[in-house]
Amino acid sequence: MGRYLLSRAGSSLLVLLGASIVLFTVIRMVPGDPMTILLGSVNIVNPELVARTRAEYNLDAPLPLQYFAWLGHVLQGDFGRSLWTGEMVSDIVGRRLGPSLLLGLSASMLGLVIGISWGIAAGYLSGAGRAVLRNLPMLMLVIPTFSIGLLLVFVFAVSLGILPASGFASPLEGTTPSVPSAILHLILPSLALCLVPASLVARLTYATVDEIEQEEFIRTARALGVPRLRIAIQHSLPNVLLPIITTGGLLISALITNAVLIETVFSWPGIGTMMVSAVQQRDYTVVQAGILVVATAYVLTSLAVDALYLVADPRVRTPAQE
Amino acid sequence: MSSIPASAEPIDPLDPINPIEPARTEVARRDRSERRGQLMRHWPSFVALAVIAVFVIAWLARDSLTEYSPSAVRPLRALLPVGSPGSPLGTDGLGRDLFSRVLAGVPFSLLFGAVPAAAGMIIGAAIGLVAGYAGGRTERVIVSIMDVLLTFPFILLAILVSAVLGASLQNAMIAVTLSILPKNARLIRSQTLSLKHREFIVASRLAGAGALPIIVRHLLPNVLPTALIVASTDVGLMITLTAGLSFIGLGVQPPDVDWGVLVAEGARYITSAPNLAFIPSIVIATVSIAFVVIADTERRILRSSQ
Repeated sequence: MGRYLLSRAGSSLLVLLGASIVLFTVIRMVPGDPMTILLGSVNIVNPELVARTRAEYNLDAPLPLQYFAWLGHVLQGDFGRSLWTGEMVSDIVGRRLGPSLLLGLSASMLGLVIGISWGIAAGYLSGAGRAVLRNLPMLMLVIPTFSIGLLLVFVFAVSLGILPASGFASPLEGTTPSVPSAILHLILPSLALCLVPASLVARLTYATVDEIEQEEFIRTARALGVPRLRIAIQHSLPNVLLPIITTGGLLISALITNAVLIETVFSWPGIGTMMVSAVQQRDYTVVQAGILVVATAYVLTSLAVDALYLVADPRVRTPAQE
Repeated sequence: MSSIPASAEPIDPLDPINPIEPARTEVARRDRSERRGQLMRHWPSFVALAVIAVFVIAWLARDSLTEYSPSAVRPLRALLPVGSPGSPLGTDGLGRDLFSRVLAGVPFSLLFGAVPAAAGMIIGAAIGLVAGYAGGRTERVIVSIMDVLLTFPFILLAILVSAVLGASLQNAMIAVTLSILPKNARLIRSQTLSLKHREFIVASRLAGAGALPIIVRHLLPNVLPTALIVASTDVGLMITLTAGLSFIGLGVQPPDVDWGVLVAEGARYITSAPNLAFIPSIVIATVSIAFVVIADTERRILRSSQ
């Protein structure tokens, strides 16, 4: 068990190293002097700074050594300067990380709750409701997420006028920090973002429920007269968690991809919108930092989800003596 | 100690629970009435094909269906509602006709879905066939690389490709193709594994056939039905995915339009003219669903014929 986690951690580290090598090489392939990329055109005229940076980043050394010099800076949180504004990239990322994490967390919570209850309902309902609940997830996967986001904006912000259409309100900072306003701004983007992961979870859930229904312990429970709802919650739910955890990587990946789209729809000041505008401005250092930060977040959460598997499945936690 | 079955089976995004079973080509001979019954089972596919055909035919006949060019700016005709004379779907903020713009998006959106799905399947199948048939270290290396890439967030790849090579239709297609490679390679590998020890493969190997002829002549035809079904699902998913790239400005670049670009433009008028964002959205969903319906119907028939 410990060995499994250790090997997973090792391969996660390899993935991140690979990603950083690709990012470093690819950004070096971009036409232009690496000096400009590191300092930004604003600071390139300062000869003292240029000389210092050249030494700091080992720019006279061969490329592999340059990579390690760059990696050293990145590990200390130094991604260089924005080519567009000259600002430190770490400051920009720091500002954007909070809103993205907030959105991602609330959407994953919402996605799990909606997905599992949807799947359980689809597993135990009969008749028309069952057919609708079983086919809707498939539909949700091919309807564009951004269209769903726009639909929510149209219904709840434009027509009903009960929720803000876009933007982010900080619960902690700003001139008038307000938790209720932050929550109001969070509802629509989280809802729009959670639907794809929720559909995936719902499909897994009802498929698992179908499987468990054949098991003897469920039949026994039913024969003993245990109410259906109690069977669903007490016996099916724990078993449903395993396949969800197993596909955790896929779910997180879907969440990240859709987050970029949803942040754009709602003008959410997160990492996604940061990367998109940086691509349009050819702000390579910001793109580089954004990709590295999101890839790290993805790898770490996948690893955490894998660790959860050990907690959730007693068969793995206490292996049978062979 | 027990190992963890983290991802033993290929994950099909639309059907993560039931891995696709390998196809069998030795179908029993059937009489004619049975054939007709067989054809009838495909009706959802025919309906879906008809839907796609309507869009293609409308695009081919676009000159006789609308008098407006998709890029003609007419400030006096700005923001006309749905059902206006000459502009059945309304016009955008610059007075451009939405109907002709939706039609202009047909080739871009369909190619944007079909090319990555086809390329992803061809390359993915090649990787999967080689890995599955070769076995040993080759297989282990390929599988572990594919495992890592399988769930890596595709959008990061798309952003990197657009940042370095520039945002364009072609570069977006490269990124999307890369994103479906691992899934297809895994699927075809597991199919190859289940076929590898069947009698007809073993027989041709004993008869002295080389690896390449066996792969091309015996393995490929047997994985083809599954590959086509998966590719059809992929076309649907890719149309939605690439529309997303266009929506955030990383796909088709104006003045060209695909349906994602139309939704992005329409989003600005969500309060005054919701039709501008929602009509292209409905079009995207309809066409993607059509491809998924084809895949789903054929998958079910293939499975029940086994």
